Amino acid sequence: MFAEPIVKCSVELYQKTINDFLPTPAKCHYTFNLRDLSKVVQGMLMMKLPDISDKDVLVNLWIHETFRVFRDRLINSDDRDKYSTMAQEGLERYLDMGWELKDYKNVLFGSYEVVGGEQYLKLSEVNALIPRLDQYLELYNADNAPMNLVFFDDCIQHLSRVARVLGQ
Amino acid sequence: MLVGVGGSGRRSMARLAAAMKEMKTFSIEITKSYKEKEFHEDIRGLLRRSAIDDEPQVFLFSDTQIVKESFLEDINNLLNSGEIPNLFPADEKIAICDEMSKKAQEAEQGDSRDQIYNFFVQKCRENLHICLAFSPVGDQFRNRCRQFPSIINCCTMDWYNPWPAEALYSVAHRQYAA
Repeated sequence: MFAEPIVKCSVELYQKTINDFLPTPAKCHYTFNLRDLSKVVQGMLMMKLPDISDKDVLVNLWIHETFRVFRDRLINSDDRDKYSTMAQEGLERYLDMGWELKDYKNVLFGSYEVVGGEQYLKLSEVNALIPRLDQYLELYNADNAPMNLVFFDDCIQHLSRVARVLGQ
Repeated sequence: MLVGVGGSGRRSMARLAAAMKEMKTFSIEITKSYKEKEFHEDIRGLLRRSAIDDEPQVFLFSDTQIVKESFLEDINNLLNSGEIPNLFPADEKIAICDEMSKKAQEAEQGDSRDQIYNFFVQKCRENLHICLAFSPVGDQFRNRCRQFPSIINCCTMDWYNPWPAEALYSVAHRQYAA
């Protein structure tokens, strides 16, 4: 039911991204292609249909995937804010969602909140994840050279990004 | 592909994420005599493990491990097509096909030598993830991106920002609390 606006919005976001974020000597990796668009869809397909309970979850998932594919590539906060504004406009225009940026900016999806979990789900509050991650770290340290890590917001975000790609 | 300055925790993140996904991490060890030959040897082992033993693997490679630019050429090929041309000599290719033939038949991928080898490549692509940890400092990163476009096109990129103050505080806090 929301497939059409989501697809239209993704395409427009992609078009804007390739027009606005051009490769320059300092940002030579600002090259986007259609593969990136397909990565958004690939990411969305990691979530199982029964787990998508309503429109909010779906839109959240979509925005999460576009952020991972496009926004993580940007190198400074100016560009990231610009991208967020673009996404925000798209949300309002196509999906009629009046969300504030802070509502969805740090939302994460992943499949590691439950031990041995296979389902790709929206993760709870970042701070609630820390005990879970400490557990993983302990498991890791048991078989490998120990790492002494402190989990903070950025770190959890990066971790979740890597885990997302490895799961694909 | 993880881009950030040294010490921002790229490799730790990749290792831990791999452990969370129950995947094995492999990275090369540089010695004085490490050249293309040794690198190819390691890649061959890696591909064999991911296809023949059917183990999901993460290959962690950082820019300090680039002894020769040809390593990147190989990674570029691996990302693009899932194989490196002429990596396996003919006799080893035959050995691989023998080992893979049963699995290829189970998956109904045909039994001619080419089909089996394609199946091997396909398995590698399924099971092997490549994590590149690069530093954006200097011209090298730019030149490499230009010369080897696959490292950009075929990767999902994650750009690391400097650590926020909150993070530095929490690390200090942990250190002194202990």
